[in-house]
Amino acid sequence: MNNDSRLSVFGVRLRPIDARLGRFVLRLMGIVLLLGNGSLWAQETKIYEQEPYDVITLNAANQGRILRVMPLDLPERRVVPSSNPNATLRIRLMDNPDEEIDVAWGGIEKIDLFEDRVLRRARQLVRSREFDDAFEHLGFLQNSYPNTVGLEETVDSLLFAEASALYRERRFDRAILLLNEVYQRNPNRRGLVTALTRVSQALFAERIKSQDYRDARRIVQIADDQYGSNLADSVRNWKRQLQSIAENVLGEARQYSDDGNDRAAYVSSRRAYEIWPDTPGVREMMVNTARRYPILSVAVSQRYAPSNERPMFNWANRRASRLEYRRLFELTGVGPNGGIYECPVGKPTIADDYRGLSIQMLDLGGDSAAYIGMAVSRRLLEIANPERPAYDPAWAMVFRSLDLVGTSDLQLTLRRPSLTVQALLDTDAVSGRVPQLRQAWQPYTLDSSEESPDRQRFVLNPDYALVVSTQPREVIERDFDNPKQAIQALRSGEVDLLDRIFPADVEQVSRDETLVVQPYRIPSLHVLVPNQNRPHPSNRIFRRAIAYAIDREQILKRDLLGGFELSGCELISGPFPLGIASDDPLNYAYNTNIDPLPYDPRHARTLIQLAQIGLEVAAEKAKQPKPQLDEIVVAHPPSDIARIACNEIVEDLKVLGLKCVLRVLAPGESRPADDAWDFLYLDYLIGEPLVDARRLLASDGFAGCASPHLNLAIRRLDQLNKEADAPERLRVVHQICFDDMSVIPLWQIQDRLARRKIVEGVEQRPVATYQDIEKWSLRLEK
Amino acid sequence: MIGWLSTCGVPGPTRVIWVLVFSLIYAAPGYAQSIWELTPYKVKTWVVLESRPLIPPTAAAQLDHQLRRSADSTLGAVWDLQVEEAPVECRGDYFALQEPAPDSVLTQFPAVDGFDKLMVVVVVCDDNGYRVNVAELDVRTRVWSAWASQHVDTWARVADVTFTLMCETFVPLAQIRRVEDDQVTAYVRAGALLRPESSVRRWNVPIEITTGDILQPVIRRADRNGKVSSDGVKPIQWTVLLVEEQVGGELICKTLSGYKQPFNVRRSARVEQLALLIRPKYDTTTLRLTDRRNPEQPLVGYDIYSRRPGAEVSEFMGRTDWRGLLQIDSDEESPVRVLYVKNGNRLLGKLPVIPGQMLELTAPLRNDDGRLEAEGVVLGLKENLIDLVARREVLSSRIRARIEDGKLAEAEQLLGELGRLETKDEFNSRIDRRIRNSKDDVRQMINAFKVESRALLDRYLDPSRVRELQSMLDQARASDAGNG
Repeated sequence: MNNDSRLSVFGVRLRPIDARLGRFVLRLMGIVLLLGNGSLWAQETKIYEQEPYDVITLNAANQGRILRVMPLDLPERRVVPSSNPNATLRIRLMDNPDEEIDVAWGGIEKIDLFEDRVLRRARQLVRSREFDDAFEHLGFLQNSYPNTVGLEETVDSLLFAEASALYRERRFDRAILLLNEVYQRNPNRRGLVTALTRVSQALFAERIKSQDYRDARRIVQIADDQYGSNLADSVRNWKRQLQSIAENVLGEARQYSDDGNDRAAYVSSRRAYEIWPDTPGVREMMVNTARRYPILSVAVSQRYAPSNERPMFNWANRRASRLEYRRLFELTGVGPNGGIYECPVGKPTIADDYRGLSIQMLDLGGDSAAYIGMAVSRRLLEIANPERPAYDPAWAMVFRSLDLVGTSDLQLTLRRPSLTVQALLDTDAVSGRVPQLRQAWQPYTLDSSEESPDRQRFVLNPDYALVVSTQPREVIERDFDNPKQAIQALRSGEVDLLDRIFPADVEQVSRDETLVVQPYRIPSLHVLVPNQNRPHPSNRIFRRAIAYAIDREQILKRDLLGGFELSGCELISGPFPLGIASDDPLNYAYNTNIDPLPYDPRHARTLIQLAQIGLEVAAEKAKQPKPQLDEIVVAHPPSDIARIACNEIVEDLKVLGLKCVLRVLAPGESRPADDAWDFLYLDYLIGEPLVDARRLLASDGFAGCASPHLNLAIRRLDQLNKEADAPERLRVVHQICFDDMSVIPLWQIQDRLARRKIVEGVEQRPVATYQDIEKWSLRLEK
Repeated sequence: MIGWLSTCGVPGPTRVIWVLVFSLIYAAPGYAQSIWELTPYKVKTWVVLESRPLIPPTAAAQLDHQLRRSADSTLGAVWDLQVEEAPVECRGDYFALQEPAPDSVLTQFPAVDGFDKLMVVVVVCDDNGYRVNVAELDVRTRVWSAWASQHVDTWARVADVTFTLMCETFVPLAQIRRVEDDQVTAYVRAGALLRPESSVRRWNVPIEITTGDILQPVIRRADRNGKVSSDGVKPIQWTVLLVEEQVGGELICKTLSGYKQPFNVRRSARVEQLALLIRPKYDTTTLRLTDRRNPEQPLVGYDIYSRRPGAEVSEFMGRTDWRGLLQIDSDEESPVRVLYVKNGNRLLGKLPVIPGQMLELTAPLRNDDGRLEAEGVVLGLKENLIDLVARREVLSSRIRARIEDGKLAEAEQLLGELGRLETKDEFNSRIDRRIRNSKDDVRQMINAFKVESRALLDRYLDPSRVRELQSMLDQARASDAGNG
């Protein structure tokens, strides 16, 4: 041992002691050790956050000195003392790291490595049930010192101890997760099987008590799959229990069936199946009752509420309005020549010169054709009448007259050629002023007596003109707190269809072979609509600033797509769809010469200042108070895509020093009823750009754009005589919209639905979720 | 006059002298003014009575007597009223409450031309009594009023109600004497015959013109024979007079006009400038804008602003719809409004209107859509250019700062960003593309913009600036390597 006086490290000399002094020294040594360990200061810095160092304790011949040294360069960081006492260990003191010193192995009492100290501390924390801290320490070791002796055992101990604590707190879900992890790491750990049994039993009992049989079954399944024979007895008991419950419920189903109550019979048999699918006879019962009373259960991303707003502006309305009423012309696809429309009330024929349209009404027996003709005529006159609430100026502009020939042949004459008369007549098929006739065109009725915060029930209308016996008798829409729960519900069979998969989840859902993922034909478009009644959003420089301030690419790729590539999901620079592929006929309106604005927060800041100056000058001129930008209110629908996107948008705006708040719309609301908002996140659909451009952008359209240049460009669309001129004119609209930032374009998303294979008849690439629901059936035998 | 002198015993030659003297006196402007103000309105009233038992056979005579008595007691000398039954030939029209064309009335009944007003009173029986309908034709200006109508329970009250309605439909007339800039002085017919306000016999009847009233100026032109044809009476379009001051029969009015010089016709012996009181009859007027070169073509989407006379701020009323229409509601506080028609940033017209005066008002204006389209294109290009220049300048400054601070990697990254911005050539190509895709009138404006912005593009989008920065960076790197 080198007795160099420089080794007086802490300047503390240990003296021979009496009892009191001994206590003092012990305390002092404790302080020294703690200082050396640094853990006293854990309240300020945790041990693993400190500069790492090892501790060498010299032997008594060297006064037991304690040396804090730079981490030793030991093979695999294992302390293997040399048998040769004169062999040396090269060290560098923490106080003097530049100097290398050789210490004889013979003079070393013990070496305490840094990671061992961390591990000891972690164990202390486990014992004192400071699990989060312990986890941090062990996590550090796993990352930086994975070969620390005893590390894995300590991790197991941590998990086990925490699971025990959670069990005592009756937090069985979390406890089982931890025990499961221990099992994966070390299935033979002492006491583990007992613990697993206890917690699983408690969890199972809890689920049974709350009648959450689906989850109870999942517990049984997991236990059976993962723990093998270890929990065999318990699993057997649980299975018997579930089967017994299922048999009771099946008995109820049979009783309902005998009583002729098909709905209750189906619901009960399905419930029995969900409780225990292997219950004898349950499958047959369910299949049979499903044939008589099929119920479709749908997980929805946004709850529906009836609204007068056009469905194109609200996802939930686009979906569920198809259940509530048929439209005169419904967009069902896109062909080489544009939209493909279905007319449920009859057979349409467009005149060669596009100046007329005739509809041969459906003959459903008796005088039905005549009544339908009259009801449809009434509707067409209603929407052409400025005095009526349903007035549609776009229709009034082209409509000249109608004639009901022989009561079932409706002949419409137009003022001028219209290339898009079907898109113009995307309206209720019959007038609401004739309730009986209207009812014949309502496929389903929303049962408002079913008041539940997370589900809505649509019941098939027996008087619906086009009812099919095999179509679902009920559609139950359920909304979930988050997309993951909805996917889980679909996988478990709790629901049969998911209307819109969150984009980042499409990849993993597609890999599930029990499910079918189908893309919608027309992508949804997402923009921010400025409130033209507020000074800042109505200023075009300010709008451009906002466009530069949002990192759209990042939000789309990271937050919405989760880093995955998904076809049809791209940034857009205008209000029209980019289409699914480059040859998509739907993209004819999109101006590909215009790239989306880049993310440039610096430039955004400059523009905001410019906008404020402009507003102040205008206010002074108009002798009005200067507008102040206190906070920006961003309103959005209650959907996951909107919520996540708007949260990120707000974060981007905050970088510029703008105070922002979010405002969530109620179900059914496409826009706030008042003016207390600045921007609205809009998720909409363009089926026919020539028609929908006005509906969205005109001064009397949804976005109420004030730009006279844009409104002129839209008016020019009304004056088109040649189909060939349409793309050019629409691209001009795109250009002007971009220049003006009339709406701030974000992205288009090709949405996908997912369904279980038992749901048949769903259109390959539908436009709307429930398109052709009359052709759907549930094949539970699958 | 000569006959009158003769009855007074004035000898022949002397009569001529007296006629000359009187002519000189009465022809002098001062006396001409006073004639206008001193001359009562000559009002002929035609009464049309339904042949029903409930209407007494002496009804016409009764009305004649009672109306004249009411006029005398209420209005004094202001009206010289004659009442008679309407000619048979026109009773049918009046029963239907139709107003025959003024010219046809005057042609058919030339005697009417000697009067100032023709009042038509139609009395019919209705469910619970009688209905009295009254309309007025101003003979000088050939303008019919709207029909005023009221139900009456008993015959005894018919005359009173008739007289009240006659006063309500009566439209006072003024003569414009002086026009200066935007001010006009006019004199009310029979203005000097009104009883003073202090008079106990002054009734509150709506036959006067007072401060705040609005007048419609009319030009009345007679031919060489002193006859006024149907083309000879024309209102001055888009022009109204707002009475700002009224002293007796004299009115000081402010001119509100869409024209710079609305009174471009001088008064003369054959040309009379008159003004008629306007009483709005309806709650709204629908404004229709049309293309003045193609009246069938509506002007759609044009912005309409409204300003009250004397107000400093305009209020946005709305935009014309697909038919070129916009409804303008009447305003009790300010019956006249000046409407400003804008398309984009361009003011196209200033239209003083009285909402409610007519059901529909058509204003032919220049179709400004071509200019608006060009304006939109140029505005977009300008803003893109501003963005581009601003971003380039900011990036260039940041690059220089990074180089000076020795942060060469960052400088290189920013230089890459600068290089990806649109170049001068690319921007010019964009302008050219817009030119190619536009119509002729739009092309001109874009071309003008291209010429204007050439200097800006040369200065701020000069590619050599990027090369300079690259060179600076290269030098800095070389210097760094040498020192390292």
